[in-house]
Amino acid sequence: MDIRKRNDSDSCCSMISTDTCPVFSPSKGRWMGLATFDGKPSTSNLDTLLKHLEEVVVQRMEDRRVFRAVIECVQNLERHADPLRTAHFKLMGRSLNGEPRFKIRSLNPVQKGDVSQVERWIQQYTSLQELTVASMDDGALDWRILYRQCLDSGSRTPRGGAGLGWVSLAKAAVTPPQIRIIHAANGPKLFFSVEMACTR
Amino acid sequence: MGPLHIASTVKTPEIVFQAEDQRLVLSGRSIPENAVDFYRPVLDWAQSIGSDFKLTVQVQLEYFNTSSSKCLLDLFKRLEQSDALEVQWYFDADDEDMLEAGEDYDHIVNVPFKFVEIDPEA
Repeated sequence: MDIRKRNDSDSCCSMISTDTCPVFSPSKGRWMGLATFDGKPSTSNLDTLLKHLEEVVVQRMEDRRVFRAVIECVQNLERHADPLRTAHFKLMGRSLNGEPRFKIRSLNPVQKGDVSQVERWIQQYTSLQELTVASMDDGALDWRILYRQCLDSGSRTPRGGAGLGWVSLAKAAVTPPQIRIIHAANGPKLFFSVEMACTR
Repeated sequence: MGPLHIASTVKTPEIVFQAEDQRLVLSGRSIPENAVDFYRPVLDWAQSIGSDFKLTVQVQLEYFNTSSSKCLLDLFKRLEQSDALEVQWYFDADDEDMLEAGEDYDHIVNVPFKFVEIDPEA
């Protein structure tokens, strides 16, 4: 496992930040790496990652919306990643017109047996998105309605909400999350990216 | 109504039934990997409630993952059978997402919700 916190030059730094500056300074709107994880998506590794990210996001930004998104994304690694192969996770931040923004990005190998299930959820997510957009007079998507429908549906898995996590992320995100399966030469991978704004 | 007490961990809430005032309290964070397993004893406990049982459910959660959100809905749906049930949903004044989460449950289940704002400065 490798958890790194990066500085402005994007070089590798210590595991835990010790400076007292804001997480990211107004830096011309460029994304800055705040934390990176490359390792096996085991429970112990992801617990360590989550603890580190809580320090980065909550203790220094006091923002629960972003940390809630972080929880879902980190736990998705354990739900959907091949436990024997390396998963990648990155948290980035930037200041946009003085407002802090976060981007969460992950790329993890998916077990071949899980690909069809994950693709079904992505298809379901996409279809629900299209249906909801079509049903709105102004074309705007009401993610909250979609969230309630998914929450109240009987669909679920032992360890997850059968796609509800993706919809809950979309509800809170700046723009709908990007989710797709990449069929790479060394096996299928799940790409996920979501951008969050702080609540205050 | 039998006793119920589940101690909190870093990823799971404390859940306790206080028989003296017929209050079920969930507090802390609920982010277990397997929420179904964690909430099974709570759902089993809720199954034993009679329709005439007066119960207040206090939800004082800081965080919950989507797996837990499904289980919370299961809990509220099982408790719908009680005629005298109220859910008290606590949220920090500056945490609009937690308020919204409670409103979503209020919209779905046929149980009265009371929203209790917590002053984070208090």
